[in-house]
Amino acid sequence: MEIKTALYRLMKGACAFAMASAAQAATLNIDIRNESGDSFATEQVIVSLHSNQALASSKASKRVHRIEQTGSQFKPFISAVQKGSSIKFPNRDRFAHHVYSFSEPAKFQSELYSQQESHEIEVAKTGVIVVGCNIHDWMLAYVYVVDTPHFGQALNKQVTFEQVEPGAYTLSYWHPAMPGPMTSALEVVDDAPQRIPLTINVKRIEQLAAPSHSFHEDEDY
Amino acid sequence: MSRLRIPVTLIGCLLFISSIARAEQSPWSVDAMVGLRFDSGDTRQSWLNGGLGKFRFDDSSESTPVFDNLALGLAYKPSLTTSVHAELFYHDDPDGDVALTQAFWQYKPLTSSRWRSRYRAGIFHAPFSLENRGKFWVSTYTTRPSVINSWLGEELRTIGIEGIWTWRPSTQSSNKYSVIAAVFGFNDPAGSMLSWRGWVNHNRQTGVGETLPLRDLPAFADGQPFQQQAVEFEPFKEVDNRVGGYLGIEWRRSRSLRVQAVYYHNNADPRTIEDGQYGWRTQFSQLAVHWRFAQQWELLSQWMWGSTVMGKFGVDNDFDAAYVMLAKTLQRKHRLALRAERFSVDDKDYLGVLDPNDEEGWAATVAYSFMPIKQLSLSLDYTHNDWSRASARPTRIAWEESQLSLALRYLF
Repeated sequence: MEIKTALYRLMKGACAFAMASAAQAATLNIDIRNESGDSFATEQVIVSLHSNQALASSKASKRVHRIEQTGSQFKPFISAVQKGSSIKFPNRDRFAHHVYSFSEPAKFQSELYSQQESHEIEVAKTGVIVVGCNIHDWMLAYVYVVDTPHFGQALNKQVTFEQVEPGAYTLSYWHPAMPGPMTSALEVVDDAPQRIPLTINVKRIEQLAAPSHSFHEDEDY
Repeated sequence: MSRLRIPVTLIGCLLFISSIARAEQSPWSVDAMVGLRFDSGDTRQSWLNGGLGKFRFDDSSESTPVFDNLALGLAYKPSLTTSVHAELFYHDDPDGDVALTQAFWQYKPLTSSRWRSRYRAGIFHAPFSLENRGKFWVSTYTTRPSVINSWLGEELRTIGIEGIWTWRPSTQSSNKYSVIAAVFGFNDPAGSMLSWRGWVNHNRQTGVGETLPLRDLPAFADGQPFQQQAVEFEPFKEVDNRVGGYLGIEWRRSRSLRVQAVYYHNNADPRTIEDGQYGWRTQFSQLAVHWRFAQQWELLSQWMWGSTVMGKFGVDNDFDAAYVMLAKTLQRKHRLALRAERFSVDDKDYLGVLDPNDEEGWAATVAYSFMPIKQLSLSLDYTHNDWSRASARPTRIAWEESQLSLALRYLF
């Protein structure tokens, strides 16, 4: 019995090894250099990797992305989701918000009293969702909808994509201040981790804070 | 002591009401304001005491504390879109009493469209003051607002309906464009104080049905043109059963700029008189700007010009006033404001010494405010004015006045 089990385990391990080496998925590190020198802006940029083989990116993972309202600001200010995911808007403030968007990928409006959470808003199209609040009109959030599981925002000027199948890809980056995404072609070979340099030129956009009232100024102003 | 009895009782009531109506998630909310001030200076007898002096509190109350603007605000918000507001003031002056200054229903529909709107119906201040942007419509810069905003709070009140429609090109746009329109009744005698007393700096908001003292003019005497005028003046009275209106446009750019142009016409019939109150046909235009041109710095300016006509062959005046104010706020606790203003009333009728309204002058104010805690502000204000006015005698009055005020304002 014991020998049989050991043999089975060995075979299983060998098979797994063989399979992994046959379709070696790569890890890609995108090194971002922002010509504007604005590292805050670099972290706002959404970097995504799109397979040129339509089928390869079809394994959409349906996830729920949350954008909070806290201190009359949306958090996160700029984020990305994969098409097919959904977004929820929890209100962490002690007062009501009225969250809405006119944008093509997700047109909705939701009245949210304190501590309420919106229903799941399905994101069926790619593009940019600009989210606002009808009550506090400085509130603003951007959600970039991509059609790939490989997307992210830079941390320490770097974005890492794991489990990237070999093939022809398009590397893309987007920022709300840009009229549209910028793209470049990229070949992923089945090999060890790759470092890809990406030069951008993006300046930050500031998220407006709630107006700071002093001297008994009225909120309605 | 009896002088203090009413305000002290009121403060007690305010504290009590505000403490019980603070329950979280309650549709009711209560705000209250207590203002206390000491004045000192070189002033003439106040217009509230029958004189022509331009300050609300004159030498008669000097060195004694006076309550200015004791106020209670109630709001009921049953939903995100609808609210009902009421504001009451107690005025510590010879004509003082509890006055209802605002009471209105507000509706702000939540529409996800590029157009937003806000509707108000009832009794409320027209949105023409860029300076009086505090709670209870008080100035957040000085304890004595400019002559324009003093007049707006004194003789004008919208008793009617108003709509503001705002267009924003996109959710992320920093520009907003608004159209303001209103129709109202009741404000037919507006223009009388401006003519018979002139421009003044004060923070006294007239309540509905409240009367203001008039100076005794030769034209009020028996056999003279305005002998039917009542001794007390009531600004918010319906005299002619006609409606007036105002229209305005506004541009706001983020939080840095607000530019407004308005036109007001009360459409009063100047030939009517009701219970001793004449119809004053008053119209004016105003251009206003509020510009935060640098961090902590603000520039405010309003320029108003118009005319008022009363009676058949009666009063015919043009008026004009403008101020420029520069304010700097440090650490959200300290604010320094400098304001310069000039004002005039051009008497165009032929009543001469019977009804002398011609006036010209200027005023300068410097104010420092300190806000140690969120509820409390302490202000030190100094205003100096220099003006001349036609009088019942062939010579003009030419006076200078100045006042230093230490004011405390507490909101709870």
